[in-house]
Amino acid sequence: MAIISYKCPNCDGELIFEPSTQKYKCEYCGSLFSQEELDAMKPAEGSETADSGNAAGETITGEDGREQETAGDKAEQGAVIYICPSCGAQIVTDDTTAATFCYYCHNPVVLGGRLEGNYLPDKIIPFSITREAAEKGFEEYIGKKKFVPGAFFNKKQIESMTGVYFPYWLYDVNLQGAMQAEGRNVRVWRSGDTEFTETKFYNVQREGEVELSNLSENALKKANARLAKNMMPYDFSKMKEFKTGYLSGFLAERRDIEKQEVEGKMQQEMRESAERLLRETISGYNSVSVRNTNIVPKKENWSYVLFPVWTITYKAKNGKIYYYSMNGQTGKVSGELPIDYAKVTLVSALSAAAALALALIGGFFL
Amino acid sequence: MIKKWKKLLVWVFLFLFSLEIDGFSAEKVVLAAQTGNVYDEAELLTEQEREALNEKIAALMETTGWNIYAVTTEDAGGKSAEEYADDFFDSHSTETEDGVAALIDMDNREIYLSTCGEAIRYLTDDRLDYILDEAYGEISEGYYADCLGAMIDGTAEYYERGIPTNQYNYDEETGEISVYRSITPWEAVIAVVIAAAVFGIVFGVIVGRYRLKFGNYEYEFRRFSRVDLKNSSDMLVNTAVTHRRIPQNNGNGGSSHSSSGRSTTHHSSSGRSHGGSGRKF
Repeated sequence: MAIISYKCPNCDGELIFEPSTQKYKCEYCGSLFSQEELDAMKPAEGSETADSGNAAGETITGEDGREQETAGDKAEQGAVIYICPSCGAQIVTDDTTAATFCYYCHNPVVLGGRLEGNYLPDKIIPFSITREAAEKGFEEYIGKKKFVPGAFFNKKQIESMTGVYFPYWLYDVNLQGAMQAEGRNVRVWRSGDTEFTETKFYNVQREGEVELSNLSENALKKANARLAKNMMPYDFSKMKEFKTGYLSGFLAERRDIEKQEVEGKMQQEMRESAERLLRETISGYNSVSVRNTNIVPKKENWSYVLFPVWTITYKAKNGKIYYYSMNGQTGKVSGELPIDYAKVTLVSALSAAAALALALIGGFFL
Repeated sequence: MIKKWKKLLVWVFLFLFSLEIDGFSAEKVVLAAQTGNVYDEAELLTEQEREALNEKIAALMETTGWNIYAVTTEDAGGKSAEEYADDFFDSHSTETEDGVAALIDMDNREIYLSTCGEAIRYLTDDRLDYILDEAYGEISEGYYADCLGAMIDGTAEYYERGIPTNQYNYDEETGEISVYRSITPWEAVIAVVIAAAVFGIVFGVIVGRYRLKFGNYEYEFRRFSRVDLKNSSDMLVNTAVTHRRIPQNNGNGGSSHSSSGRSTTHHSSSGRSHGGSGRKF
């Protein structure tokens, strides 16, 4: 199952996943198929060659995870070439590409082998925003931004808009937390010309289970880490078992950041979050100083997931290229925006003038 | 007929002549007793004293932009010193309300410092008291010029010090209070600093957000968490009570009067609002 192309049983056209219906659609005859129906079909398989250039001879089919690894290793030096199951043309990919299109026949191909064994995603959130909706959403997003130069947005200048499944690490944890703190309550009262200050010291203990879920981390080196993070949060309750079919019609990347690399960072985030949660259970004091915190993870669950992102490359009139990401499930957009400094300066100056007037009025009446 | 004409002509001539004489003599009197804004109607000052006083007045008028008069009178025309000073000021200073008139009234045997307009704010009741203390010291020794000089100097000094922050006008006839409101240089500086900070924050926040410097996603630990406390205890372990005597500011009781910013005002016959204070000698 190295390279997969889903074919319509009616007309042999390619089937792609349709976000609006959450079904598989043949673009030629318009037939719709459910996940179960797709599972029953036998997809067309192409072949993969693990080198650049002299690809034709050595075709490796039906390889297992280990062979896949070697293919990946080799590919670190260069692109990996696959043969399109539809037209036989070569498909050049990065070593993280898990789904793409044939450059020649534009046939959607899923590199199933890239997502096997170790690299089999645990969960996936399928796209639920169509290309049209994404385009519209992006336009609205830019439209709402007041400080973008007026002439910035033009639909025609969207250079490319691609639906990509990005790899993430998700971390759920059940932990045993304990916190010791000192709480103080201060009461001040007067009696005659004497002022009394009473300080009550409390020994505060909190112990219990804390469950944290959906801590996430980008798992693709070439992704813009900040944009990847800003795609959060997804509606994690809509996560589904991974099926290669969801990738048909989209690009997909497999992870190249391993759990070990993000573990420390995510556990740190977990600890900080757990501490803050425990600290928030302490209330009713004038001041609290935490003496000791103990966090012991009891049950950790790491999952490797693919989340949908519309990536938008936008070429501004001045030739500068901007990259945007849109959450393929919720429509949340993130990306650097060009700034109309005149507008920002004007608004800032107006705010400053208002503040100056208020402060002067305040000073006047003081 | 001709006789009649002649007679009339003589009368007209005599009338004109008398007018001329009158006008001439009146001018002569004014010239003798007035130097600039010093009106020495009681002729208590020498010419040098008048000139020195007028120089002082001119200098202060230059810095303050007020009208300032030093007046002496032998005949208040039945008016009190307050009325005389107020009316003198009102009749001479028609173009502006701001200013003071320092009066030595030999008729009522009273010295009076009348304030009007902006000067009311500067010369509060307490300040007038201080000025009159000085002036009274001089006049009780018979130094008329120094008495007027002390009033002008006192006015100059308090103009320098500015309007007290707690100043208010109290109209003794209506009981109306008009609090002096101003922006002190410090307040202006603070306001500018606040405005600059607002500019920086607004600019920085917008640019920062557009450049993804902040406003980025943070793990929503409250949303994606569940806390199940098995043990939660809050034990009182210690109570400490400290006490201190509240310092009493008895010494300030007396001075609180002196720091009062009241300027008591009344209305002159022209209807203008005047402040001022006098002292019998």
